[in-house]
Amino acid sequence: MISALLLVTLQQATLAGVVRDSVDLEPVAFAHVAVMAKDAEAEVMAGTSDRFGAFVIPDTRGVRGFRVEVSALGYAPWTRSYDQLPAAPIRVLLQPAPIRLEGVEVNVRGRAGDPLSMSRDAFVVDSALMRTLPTILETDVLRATAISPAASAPSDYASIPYVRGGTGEGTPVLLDGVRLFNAFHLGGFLSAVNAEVVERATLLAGSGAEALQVGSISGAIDIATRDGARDRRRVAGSLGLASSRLSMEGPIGQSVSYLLDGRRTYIDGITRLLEETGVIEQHTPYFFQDGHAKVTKDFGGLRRLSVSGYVNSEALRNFDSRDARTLELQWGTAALSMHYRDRLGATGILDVTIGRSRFASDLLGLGGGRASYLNGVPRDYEPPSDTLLSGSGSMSEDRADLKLTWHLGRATVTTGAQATSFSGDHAYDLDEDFEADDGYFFSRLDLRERRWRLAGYSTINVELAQGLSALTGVRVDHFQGLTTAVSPFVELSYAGSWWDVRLSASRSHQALSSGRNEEALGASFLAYDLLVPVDSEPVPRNTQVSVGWEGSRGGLRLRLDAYARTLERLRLPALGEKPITAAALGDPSLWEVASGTARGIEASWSWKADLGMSVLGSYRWAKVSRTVGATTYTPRFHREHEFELGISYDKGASSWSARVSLRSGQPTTPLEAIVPVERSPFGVVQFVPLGGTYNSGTLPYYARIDVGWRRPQQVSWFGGGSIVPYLSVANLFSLPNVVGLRVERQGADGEVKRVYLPQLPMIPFFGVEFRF
Amino acid sequence: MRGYALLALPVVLVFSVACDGLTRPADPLETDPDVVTVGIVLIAGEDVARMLAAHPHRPRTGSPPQMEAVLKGPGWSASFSETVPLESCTLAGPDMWPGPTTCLQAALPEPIRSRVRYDIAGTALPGRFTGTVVVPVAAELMEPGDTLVLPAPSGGSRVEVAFRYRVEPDVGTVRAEVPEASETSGDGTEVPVGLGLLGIIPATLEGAGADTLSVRYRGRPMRFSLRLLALGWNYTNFLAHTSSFPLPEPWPNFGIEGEGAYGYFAAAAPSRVAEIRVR
Repeated sequence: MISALLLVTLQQATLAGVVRDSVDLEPVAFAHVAVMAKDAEAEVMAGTSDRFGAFVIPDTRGVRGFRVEVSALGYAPWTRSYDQLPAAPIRVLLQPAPIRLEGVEVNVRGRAGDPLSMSRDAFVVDSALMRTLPTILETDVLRATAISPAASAPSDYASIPYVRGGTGEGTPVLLDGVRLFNAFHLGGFLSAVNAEVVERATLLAGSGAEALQVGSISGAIDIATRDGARDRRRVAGSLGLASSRLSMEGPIGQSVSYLLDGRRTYIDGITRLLEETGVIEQHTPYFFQDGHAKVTKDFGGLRRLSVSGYVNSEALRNFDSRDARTLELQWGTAALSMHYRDRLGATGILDVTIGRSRFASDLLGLGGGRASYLNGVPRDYEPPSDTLLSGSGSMSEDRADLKLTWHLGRATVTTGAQATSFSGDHAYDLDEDFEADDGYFFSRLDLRERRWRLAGYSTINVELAQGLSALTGVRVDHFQGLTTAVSPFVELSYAGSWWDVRLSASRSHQALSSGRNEEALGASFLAYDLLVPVDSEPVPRNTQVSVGWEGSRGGLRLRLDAYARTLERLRLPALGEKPITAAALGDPSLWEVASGTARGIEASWSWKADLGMSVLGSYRWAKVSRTVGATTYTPRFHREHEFELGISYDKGASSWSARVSLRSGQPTTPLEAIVPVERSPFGVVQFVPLGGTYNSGTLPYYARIDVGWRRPQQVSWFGGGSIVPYLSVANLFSLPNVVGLRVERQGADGEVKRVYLPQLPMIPFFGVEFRF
Repeated sequence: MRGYALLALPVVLVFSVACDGLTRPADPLETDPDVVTVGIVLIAGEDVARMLAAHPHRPRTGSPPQMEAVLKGPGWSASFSETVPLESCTLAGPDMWPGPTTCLQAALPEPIRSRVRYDIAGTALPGRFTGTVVVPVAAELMEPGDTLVLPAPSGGSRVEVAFRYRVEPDVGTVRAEVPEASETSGDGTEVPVGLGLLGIIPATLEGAGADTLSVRYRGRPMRFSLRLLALGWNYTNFLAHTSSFPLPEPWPNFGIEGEGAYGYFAAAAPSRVAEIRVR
């Protein structure tokens, strides 16, 4: 088949090229490339530049003397006329159009604030959009994706979103093509990838189309980093309330660019200072740091090679002389990828990606210490010496991807092969005492599993007559020692003059199980996951159908989607008697084969006015369920209704932004009766709160308003550049959102009440970004 | 314009702080005020049965539960018809219990026996309820014997008593109890000591068959009795679910079913008593 395709492609007349920013020469994705007869207005052929700025437009033989027009949001149109087809790939340099919002940041390209326009299959968050949302501690890529109707964050403390009622392990976070384990810091509050280097994050909600090559059961979050600037050396970064970041980029010779960046928090130092000055009682001995490097070599035309490396580390060191119990945690993630691209014949593109990623953790908890105080002054102290928790673990993924893309007239064919080796090795042990008091997060775990996954896939996108088109594909996976699974995908679409509609169905498989117990309360505060390959059949799978409509009129774009999906053969923990106090990280070898369903309706819209205002919003209604054994329930992270609205407004040199979130309450177990019981021998009365059906009740609704302000200013320092002071307030008015409830005696009369576990209170953030 | 912006920011922040609730205040339970809870533990060897009933969702000043209940033994039935002081049912004072409480007692025609099944049936404001319990077999206290004499702890403040015991599978919890204790005063008279002063550790045993009881020594010769109370699974299951989070259905068996009352219907059997003398 491949040789036949090669023969066909060699006979075609093809226009190929790369679209780049005219200032820093970085690739421009999602540019529309139209080929038309010199004296005509109608397009003969058209295409779109891919994530590396490349485009291939075949079958231009019939055109004698033609014009190429290239347009991309945020850039001035580019037009060239040709008498003859250029034999070599053309280079399109787009000049950034003035963007009032971030006009002084010449490196910010593309349209600000419209993730709908860039890809029909996905929700694309680019660096400009990230900066138009109020900053929560730092400009954050994962938190920005949660404005998509398909993504739902389980709490304010965990920025990693759940996609269309799916499972956490079913939505991998990819960084430059390789999986990034536990892609966040601060327990999940902040994403681990420095926003300074993110070109865009693509949220794939389904498992077909672009997601077919990912091979997951619940879409993916695909983060692509920028290439380094090719025009001159640039330095950018920020100084924030709790962390700072710095990046440096520039050319090496004529064809190589580099990008280096790093970030470090000083939460440990600041809280230590506050403790010493008496502002707070106890410091937080926590830090994270991350670093990233990328080198790109352009060989000319479409041919390029890039190597991207990422590493982070975090630690919580709680060895304090006043503590009778201590906990020390260290963990970190690393990822390395290499991507090579070349042209294959006249119309083909070859992409090869190899990579490795790894997560490692090390825990030690001590107890048995004793400390006594008199008026706050330590009297005697016996340090903890009993090991309550100990263990270490790692998980890694090695992968090699080969992808071939042919542009054949009105069809595009993609064929690929993948080999992935996934290894999980986790060994944690804990004492009964630790389990009793701190079981919200940990449990015993001793797992060691490694498996290969070999896959081949192919898709064909065919433009049929009269606006109809079909995209179909199939993926075949061989899961070592388990099974071989076929995952088909089909989509039919119709494009009208200003709208289009599509109907799709897909199936996908993935042989991973997660240690996370989403029903545990601790899962709302800790986003980390421990993954292992499933060790026996059946392999988890997802089946999904969806129908969607999208239209665009003037500055308004509206997208509607409805979907229904079934998740089968999942590995989930049995609810047990006390699901809420179970460990957030459990032993997946004890999980049961389970299933889930989700169905929902999503609406998202973007609107950009000439007056400097842009609006991005979404609404989602969905029903989600899980079935473990004979029990069917709504998972605790799910909300039936979610409304998100992001508004940015530019006035003068300032940029104002607001984000409004309105959500229905998360499920909870309703209370039927509190039954008092006396606990011997001292006449202490405790309670057994008897509840109704699990998660059949609802917590109070969620409302939050974040606001932000930025003011770019040109400065002449270091040869010229810009600084952008910013100020933001998370949860303006401190609306009292909740993540759970419990019953407790309250007040002097000892009345038993519903006491809520809070979400994020009002917190102001400030800092300054700079770019030179 | 810049002036407005500079003014607006602190105004917004001050307004935010003023509105700052930080956390959502606690809400009332919003549960049925007529809910009745009961706690019943039959003790082998006793010829009365007591039931502590409460309206836990009512204010303490509300009216206590009005209910009818009958205990059924082998060939007999006895009504919980006598209201007795709360101290007969519990060591905890009325301020410790949520809502109004009442202690009801039934006089039995024969003492409660181990391995015998007892049933309860009753009616409370919300409806009828029933329950069943089988009294567990008493723990066998293997060591010490009937009397153990220990020397006063040298330099320490606690007396430690090692003991061994054996329980049957129908026992869920074994509790060490000191029914009575006394000290010998300077003039040679024995003075009773309140149990709260003894600091008994552990109160609940781990069921391993051997344990050590630690009792506070107050510098005077003392005498106390030791026995083990074997409690069945209805009580054990119930106590295992004390929590601040609602327990979802289906609940474990606590011995009580029906819409009329929530709670537990449990039974226990005491072992023989060993007397410990410390000189």
